Amino acid sequence: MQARPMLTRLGARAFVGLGAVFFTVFCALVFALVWTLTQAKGTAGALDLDQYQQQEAAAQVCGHDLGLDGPEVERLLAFGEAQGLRFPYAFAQVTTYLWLIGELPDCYMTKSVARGKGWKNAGTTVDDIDRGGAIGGDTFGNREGRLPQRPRGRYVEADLDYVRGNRGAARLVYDRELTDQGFIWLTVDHYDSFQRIPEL
Amino acid sequence: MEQQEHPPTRRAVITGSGAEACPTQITRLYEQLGVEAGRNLDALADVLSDPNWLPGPVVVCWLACPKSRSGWQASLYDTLRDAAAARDDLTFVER
Repeated sequence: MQARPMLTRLGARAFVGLGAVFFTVFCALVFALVWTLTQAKGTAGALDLDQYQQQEAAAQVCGHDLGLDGPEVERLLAFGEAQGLRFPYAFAQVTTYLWLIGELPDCYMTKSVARGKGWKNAGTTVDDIDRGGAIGGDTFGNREGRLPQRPRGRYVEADLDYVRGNRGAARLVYDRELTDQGFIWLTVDHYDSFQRIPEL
Repeated sequence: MEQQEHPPTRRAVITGSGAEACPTQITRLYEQLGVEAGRNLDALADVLSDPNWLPGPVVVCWLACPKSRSGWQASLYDTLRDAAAARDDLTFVER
């Protein structure tokens, strides 16, 4: 007669123990599921325009605030990312703007204009004279003949990936009379090689 | 009265008629000027026009510069001449 409560107590402990094990396993599964979904979202969001826009707005890259979207922007974003640009969203915005409007956005200034604003010595960088601005609009000489031959003055260049400090090696080069036909190239190695942008 | 310090002048010399290839000449120019950039004429033009990449004053001298130039020699000459025309603190001399 005394053994039954003992067995009941043992049974209850076993039940609680098993319950704890199941609960732990359940929690681990839920955690694993949430973690997997989070990782998957991160990958799927690689071409999330808003995410790139926010990131580049924080970095104040010339062209990030043009507010353009659509399949062309997404295609250029993927292209810029594949070419290794630090700020592919701004590249996609500037290039789409160029394709639609035929000229660079207002955040660009030529070297001559920059010099007029005080860009004249080692201690003054482009962001010192114009935060959010970049060098662009000067004639590209095509001195090595790596792009198709055109009359002098037809090619124009613009900096990409510039935020602050010294300028980098990424440039957009385009034929000023044929931007609507996609005669726009990207170089990320200071004119050693050029990639024509994908058809828009 | 405190004397104003002037930055040191960067100097580079191109010698001879340029029998070597253009990238070699550009590499030598960069070494003398203390610059790291693309080894092509378009990059050189970009560097010469950028006061952050190449702070002035700068003097580039082409010794025994050929009178008759063609190909990359003509392009290099034009690049140096145009850069000197655009910047007050860059001088191009040919001898």
